[in-house]
Amino acid sequence: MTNRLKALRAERGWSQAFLAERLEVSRQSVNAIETGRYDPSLPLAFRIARLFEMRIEEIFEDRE
Amino acid sequence: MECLPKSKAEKVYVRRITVTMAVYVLLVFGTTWAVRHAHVQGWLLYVCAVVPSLAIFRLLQVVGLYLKEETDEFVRQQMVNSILWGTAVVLGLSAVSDFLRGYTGKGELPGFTIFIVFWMVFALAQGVQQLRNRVGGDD
Repeated sequence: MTNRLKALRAERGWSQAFLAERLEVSRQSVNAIETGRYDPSLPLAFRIARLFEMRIEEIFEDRE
Repeated sequence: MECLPKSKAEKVYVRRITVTMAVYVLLVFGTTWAVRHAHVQGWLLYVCAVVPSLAIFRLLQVVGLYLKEETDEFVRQQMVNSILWGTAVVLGLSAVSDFLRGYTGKGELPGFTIFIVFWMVFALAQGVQQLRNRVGGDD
């Protein structure tokens, strides 16, 4: 799965620490998601989508 | 590399582990003293032999509680990975030991080997994952 998290965060001028705080996860988690080393669970993906006021599929994309 | 703040669950986990290990050390020294110097015998000897393992059960419970209480799923997954690594290595090690003993009569592991190896592999896996998932400067 690929995602646009880093680009979307940059558009808003948010730091990883800020995003991590808003999502109530560690910065390590945000970094792992952004770099594609970790695919978030559905509840976390929904939290991310809600925070960016977008649909999940606008942030995350299935490679297949 | 940045030193990241610990989650609430992680802080509780570290505190519980510290207390449990302190109790474990006290129990080991206490029972060793009782068996060697107070010459405990009979059923009390069996009780003394088992008492230190109570702290080990608590240790396992502390790990379980951490997995339940950690809200950061990525951090939780890293912990689970480390547990799986530790379990895989000790299961493999005990299988090798059992086959060796079965066919050659040799290869018996010294006491506590499984326990020590499990935690060593666990710690190593945690360290490797921390290193792999380290974060640089925030942008």
